[in-house]
Amino acid sequence: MIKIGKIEITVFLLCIVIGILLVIQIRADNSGNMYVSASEIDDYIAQIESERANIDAIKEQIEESKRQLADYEESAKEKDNATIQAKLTSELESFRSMSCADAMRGSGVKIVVDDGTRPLYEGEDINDIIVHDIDILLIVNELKRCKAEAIAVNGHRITPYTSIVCSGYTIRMDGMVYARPFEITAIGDAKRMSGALLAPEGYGTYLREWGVLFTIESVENVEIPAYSEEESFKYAEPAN
Amino acid sequence: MIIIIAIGLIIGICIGFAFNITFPSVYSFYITMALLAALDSVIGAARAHMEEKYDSLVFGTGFICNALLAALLTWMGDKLGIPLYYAAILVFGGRLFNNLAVVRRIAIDRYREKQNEQ
Repeated sequence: MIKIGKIEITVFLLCIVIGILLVIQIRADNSGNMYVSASEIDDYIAQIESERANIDAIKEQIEESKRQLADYEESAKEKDNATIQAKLTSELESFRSMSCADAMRGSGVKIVVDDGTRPLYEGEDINDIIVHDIDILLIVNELKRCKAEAIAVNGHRITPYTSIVCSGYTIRMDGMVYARPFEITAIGDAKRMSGALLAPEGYGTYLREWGVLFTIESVENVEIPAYSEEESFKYAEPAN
Repeated sequence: MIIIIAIGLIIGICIGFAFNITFPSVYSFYITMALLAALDSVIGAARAHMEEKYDSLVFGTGFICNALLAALLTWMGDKLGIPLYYAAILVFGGRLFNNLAVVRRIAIDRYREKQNEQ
C-alpha cells in the first residue's frame, strides 16, 4: 500500500494542476499564436495605418462622386443650364490638363543630358558616351515613377501615348526628331525626382559614370507646353 | 509515487475535459510557463523524495517563486519586445532533465543494491 504523506499530497495536487493546464493548452486554438518582435509590430502598425488611410481616401472619393452626382441631378431637375455648363467647363478643364492638352506651370526640375566630352579609351566605342533614346526613355520613366505631373523633352510634351525611339544621332518622339542636348523639364516633387536620379543606384549617376553629361537642378517655376498635335482614336472606342 | 503522479494526471485531464475551461489566447504563454513550473516542481519533489530530504516549506515557496518569476519574465518580454521567457523555459527545461537524471541514478543504485543483496 502507498503511504500517504505531505509530499504525496502536494505531488498529487500538482499533477492535477498539470493535467488541467495540459488540457487547456492543447485545446486552446493557438495556431496563429507566435512570438512577435517589437519591430514586426511596428511594421504591422504602419501597414494597418496605410491601409486605413487608403480606405479613408476611397470613402472620400465615393462621397465626392455622390455629391457630384447629386449636384448634376439637382441641376438637371431645375433645368439650370448655366450651372451645368459651369460644371462641365470645370470638368473639361481638368480633363484637358490630364490629357496634356493644356500648358502647365509649376515647380519642378530641369535636367540636361548631353554627349560626353571625355577622350575615348583606345578602342572604346563612341556609343559609350553619347546619349541614346533609351537614356531619355528611362529618365522619363523614373520621373513618372516619382509622380511627375507634367514632363517635356526639348519642349515636346510627353503624353501617355508618347513613343521615344532611336533615330541615328537623334531621337524621334511621336514622329518628330530631336537632337542633343536634351533638356527634360518636369513638374513635381523636385527633391524626390533629383533624389531618385542622383541616388547611388540612380540613372543619373549611372550616366555620369559612363561619361555622359547629366545635370539636374530644381526650378521654382517651369512652364511645360501643351501637346501640339491632334490626337484622335482610330480603332478604340468607349466600351460603355 | 509513480502511481500517485499517474492518478493525479488522469484526474486533472478529466477535470480539464469535463469543465471545458477557456482563456484568451493572449495568455497562452503564461499557461505554458505555469505548466513548465508545475512540471519542474513535480520532478523536483520526486528527486527530493528519493534523496529523502523533502521539505514542504522549501518546496511550496520554490514553486510559487519560480512561477511568479516566470510570469514576470513573460510579461516583461511582452512589453519590451524581447522573448525573455526563453530564460525561464531554458532554466525549467534544464532542471527537468537534471532532476530526472538524479532520480534515475538513485533508482538504478537502489535496484543494484537489491540485486547484490540477493
